[in-house]
Amino acid sequence: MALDDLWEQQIRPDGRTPHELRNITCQMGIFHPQASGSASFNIGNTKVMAAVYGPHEVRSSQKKHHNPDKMIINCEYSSATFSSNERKSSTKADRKSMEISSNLRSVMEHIIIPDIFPGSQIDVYVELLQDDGGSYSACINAATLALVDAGIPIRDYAVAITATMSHSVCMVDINAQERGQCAELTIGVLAQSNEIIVLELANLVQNFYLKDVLDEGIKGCAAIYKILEEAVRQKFNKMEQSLV
Amino acid sequence: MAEVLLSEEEKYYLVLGVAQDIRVDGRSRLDYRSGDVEVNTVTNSHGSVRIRLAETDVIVAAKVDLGVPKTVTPNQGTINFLVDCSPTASPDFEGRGGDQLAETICRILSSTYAKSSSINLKSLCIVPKEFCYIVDVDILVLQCGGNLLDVIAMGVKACLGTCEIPRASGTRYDLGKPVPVFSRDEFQFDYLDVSKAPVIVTLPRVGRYFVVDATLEEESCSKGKLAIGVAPDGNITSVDKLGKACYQVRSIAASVQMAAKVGVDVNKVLSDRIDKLKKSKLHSTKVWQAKQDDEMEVS
Repeated sequence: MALDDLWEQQIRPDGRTPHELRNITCQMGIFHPQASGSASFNIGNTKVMAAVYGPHEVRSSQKKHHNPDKMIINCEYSSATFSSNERKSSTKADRKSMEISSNLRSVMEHIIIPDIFPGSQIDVYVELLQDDGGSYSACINAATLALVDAGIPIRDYAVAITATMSHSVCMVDINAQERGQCAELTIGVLAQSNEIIVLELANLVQNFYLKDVLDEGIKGCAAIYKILEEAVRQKFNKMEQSLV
Repeated sequence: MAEVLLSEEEKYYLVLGVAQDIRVDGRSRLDYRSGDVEVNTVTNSHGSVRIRLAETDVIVAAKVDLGVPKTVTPNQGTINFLVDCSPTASPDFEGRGGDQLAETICRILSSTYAKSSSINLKSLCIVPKEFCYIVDVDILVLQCGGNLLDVIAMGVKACLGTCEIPRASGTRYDLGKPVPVFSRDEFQFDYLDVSKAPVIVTLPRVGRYFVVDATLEEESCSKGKLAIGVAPDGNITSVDKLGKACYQVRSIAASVQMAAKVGVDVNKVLSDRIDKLKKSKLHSTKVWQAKQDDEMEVS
């Protein structure tokens, strides 16, 4: 219903054109100095905060089966009880949170240069404050920024975005309203090499459209990378000015 | 709460400083740190507030739902509390680590707001015995820099005070039962009256003196604390002893006097802030920044 204007007028229910991203604001160092690194990433009404603690000594629970030459990366995702329209009545982790936590951990393991601090542990905690579509990709972007804020050496930025195809029109950055009506493809890439590290599709997309959706997603990721890079640059310019 | 490791010398310095009324950051024993309250942090809730006092950062969101009143109180609504300690505040809160702290805070808040002297629950009733509002208040602890309970209590008062309760414009009858009708205009709403709601003043004892608004370091130098609920008129609504310390009757009496004096000031500043926020309700900020002119400071 809401997407009926899509083909004729090329306009989406919230007034955006198909290739337009929502308004993005990101900030680094929000939990300074308690956390080693932290960042917030807001895209439209989706708000995510990430905090990185470490590298520090391995926690006693993991000490038994810990290889002293390796570095442990621990990741936990949690969503606030008020984040979605349906209120979550318990704070305990459910299956979905655990799955996202382990997926995030594999993304972090991919970008953090391995075993650079052997025998230590890095904790990455991501908190979803409000979910209006594209929450998983926002979590990846926030976690990347938090790692940069913590000064942990990473291979490349991991950036992610959602994309879809509906009424023969490719769209990027799906919000919650659109998610209910079409397939949602979450795509995450390594920003400088454009290698895909995250690919998740819910619902169905017709076979010959898949490549177009992927291309759209990669272009969207490039736009997000520019914004993340700008945020990092601004932060370090400010730091430089305060040192001079 | 998240533990801080201090050496013996640091503890000694801190305790002696408190005894001379000069704390590590220069405050006196009765000074609060500066912070601010912001509304509309979470746009899909009926009321939401982000309150920050130095490094303690908490989001309080309230969602209003329609429900049936409890049989023991047929003409009252309900307010439920849920506290969630996010692991972003400390790695200790990972998994179930923050549950014990969350339980304690939840219990204190529930008992504070269950009293009719704090908040008028009758205003949440729409049709006695049939329909009432159930307000679910969710508290998310983002960062813990000491004095968590006080900040949460202030945040809850601000959130309930700026929460938009939809207005029931009337009832229609459906098969003989009354069903409330809500106005379609989203700008027609009511605010809850929080003018009598209390604020909690936590007083940990550092050495031989009580301090207000302790930092994490000061809390780690104290064995226990007293959490005292103070209403805007100076009356004491609750006293909770937390931790492992023992007190003499004289100390408790002295601390309650201290809390009453401080609590009245805190309530006044918070009420003024809530009124100002209600006036500028539709304005929301995107990037978290303490606004210079609106910064709240209590001394």
